[in-house]
Amino acid sequence: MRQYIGTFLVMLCLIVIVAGGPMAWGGNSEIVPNSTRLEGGIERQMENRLREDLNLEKMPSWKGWNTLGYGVRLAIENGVSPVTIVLLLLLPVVATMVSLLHYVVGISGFGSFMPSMIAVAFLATGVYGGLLLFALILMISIVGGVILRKLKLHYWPARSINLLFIGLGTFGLMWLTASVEILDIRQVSIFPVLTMIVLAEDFVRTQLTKSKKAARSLTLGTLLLALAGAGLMQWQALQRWVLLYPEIVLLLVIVINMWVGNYGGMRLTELSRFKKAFRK
Amino acid sequence: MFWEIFNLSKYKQFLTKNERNKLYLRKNSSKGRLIADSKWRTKQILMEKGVSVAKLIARFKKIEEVRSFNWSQLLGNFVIKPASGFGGEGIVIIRKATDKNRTRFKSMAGKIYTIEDLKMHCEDILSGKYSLHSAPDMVLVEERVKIHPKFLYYTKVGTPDVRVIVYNQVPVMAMLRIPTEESGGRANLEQGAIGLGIDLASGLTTFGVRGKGEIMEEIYHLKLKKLKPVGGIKIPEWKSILDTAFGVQKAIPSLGFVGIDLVLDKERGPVVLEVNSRPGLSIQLCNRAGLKGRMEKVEDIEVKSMEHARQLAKYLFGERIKFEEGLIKEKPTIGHTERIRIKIGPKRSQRAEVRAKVDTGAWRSSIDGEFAKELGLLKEDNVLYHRHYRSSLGVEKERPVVGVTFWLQGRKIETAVNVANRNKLRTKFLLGRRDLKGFLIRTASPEKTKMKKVIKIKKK
Repeated sequence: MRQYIGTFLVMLCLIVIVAGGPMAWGGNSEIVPNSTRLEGGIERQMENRLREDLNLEKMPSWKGWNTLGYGVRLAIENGVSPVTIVLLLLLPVVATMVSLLHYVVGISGFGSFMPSMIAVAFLATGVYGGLLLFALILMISIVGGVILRKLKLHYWPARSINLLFIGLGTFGLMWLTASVEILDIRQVSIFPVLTMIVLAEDFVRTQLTKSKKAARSLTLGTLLLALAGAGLMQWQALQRWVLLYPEIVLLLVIVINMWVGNYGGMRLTELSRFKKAFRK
Repeated sequence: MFWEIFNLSKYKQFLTKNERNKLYLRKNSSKGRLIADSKWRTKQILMEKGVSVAKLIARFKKIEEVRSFNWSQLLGNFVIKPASGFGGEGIVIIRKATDKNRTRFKSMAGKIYTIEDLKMHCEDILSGKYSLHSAPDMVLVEERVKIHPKFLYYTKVGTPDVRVIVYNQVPVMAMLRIPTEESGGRANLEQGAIGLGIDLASGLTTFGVRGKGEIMEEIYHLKLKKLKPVGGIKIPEWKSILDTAFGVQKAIPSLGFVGIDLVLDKERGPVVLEVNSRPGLSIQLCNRAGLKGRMEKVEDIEVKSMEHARQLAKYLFGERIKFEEGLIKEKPTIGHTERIRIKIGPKRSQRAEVRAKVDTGAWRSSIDGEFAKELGLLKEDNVLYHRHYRSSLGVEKERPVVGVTFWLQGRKIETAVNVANRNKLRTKFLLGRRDLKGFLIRTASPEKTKMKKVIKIKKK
């Protein structure tokens, strides 16, 4: 019975990814750079949409169980950004999905926090922009690492110089994309860049200390989890839900995490791994 | 079929990551984990308890100590390790000095290190590059245990070691870990080393895995210059390896589930390198056996002595079919009753011959109690454990399970046997399914002469 619940939840996750994925990259107009340029950033657009959605719904009356939902509405009426609230409340949801995918499916990234962070970064940069940014930072880190190893510096000074390279590279990329007009990451704040740097650092570190294979698979896992997370966060119905009924969403988070936290069975990826250990 | 993969009952024997983390790591108290996570503490405790460990050349806690150390006094053959590194990270194995003044050293992986390089590596370790959460660390410089001649031709880089997993004081699984160029001379499967499963009864290798999941059938032999089957490599001093592993857990009782890494020194015998409180799970792939099934079997057994622990490992987890030549060519045919020879002493003459009945309806073989007593199989060290069962009348009873070595059709079988009351039966020994692997059973009465003729005619 337990296994069936696991499979069911996995299917649910996959549906979420498949359904939510297209919304994150190019499915709706939010990420398409031209529109963002016209209307001044993803956040502004998202905020407008959420406010519109909320205006359609009546302000609920306070009934006790809906304290949180009522509070959220009140806060928005008083001028708190709905985008911030949505992201805040969705962060545990994304973390839940990451842990579910890790413990039940078996996709591993660098910890559980990193994929959630990258997911938020993707939200700000758009998926293509984020991947481009990450590819650039990773490339600079690797090339920089090769150069710095020849200089034989201490570990931390070497990282600082690497940071300098990354800063220059990101600046160059911003300038380039602005002039070429393929992807727009001009609006990007420092935080997505920072998370990408941390991820690239993790990659380089793992490559040095463990193996190239491990570094590759962990980075890919992180990106995969982050993409799923970004897809989930971009899911408009979920955004509306978390604003209107935050209690239900958060209760679900607790329930799923209690289950995953007690899950002692197989990870899906372990099926094929242990299959090799059968005797013929 | 695709759906076969969902037949989960077949997977029950394996220890999964979630289970290891949730259930079995609890057997290791935080005190034990603290010891295992620091190679220095492990070393101290094991030395105190008289377990042999690699010789320490130097230990650095501060950068000044690294700088003031006279590096050129080293002749080569040393290892630089972070005290709390994990997964073999940050370990540099130096083979020899490449010049007379000993300013340049060659590592096992073939890289050249100047003294400056070595100092920098030590400083990196001290600043916590290889420790968990980048916490400041300690550097250990140890003597390198030279490769045992038995393993000389299986790797160019590094020293193969033996990993034994001990649970509840019983060795439950073991593997030989052979470093590869990919693993940089380190013996961690995570880094790409080769793992060969070991039959706990005989010390012969069985199956192989490379890295964390690539199945290996053959391994390159450097002298013969050809691929050899991975099975059938004899691990020298197997008994003392198992005993050392037992001794380690005795010395650190706060670790209930532990992976112990040993290397074989030609003169000193097994030397403990490291104790691992979170042993990896790939060992199940190269043994083609599940850890969980084995661990559950020994969970409730109270281990009395080193001898008892070794007997348990041998008779409960030994391979039914020996991997002497790596391949089993033919399956001998047996009838419904067969004569077997039971080992009752170390000498060749100390064998008891008895008629045994083949019963494929029974899982485990059983032996008559009186008869077993006569043979001396009920000695304390030989009784593996007592089995509780409910008789057909519903009475709770207890019967011993003993380790028995016997020969059937010239094939040696080491197995655990139930002691039962068979004094009213014609055969004192019953051969169960568990010990009949690799045999064909002829149900009709044998007509040997006729059979031979038929075969001869066919050959012509």
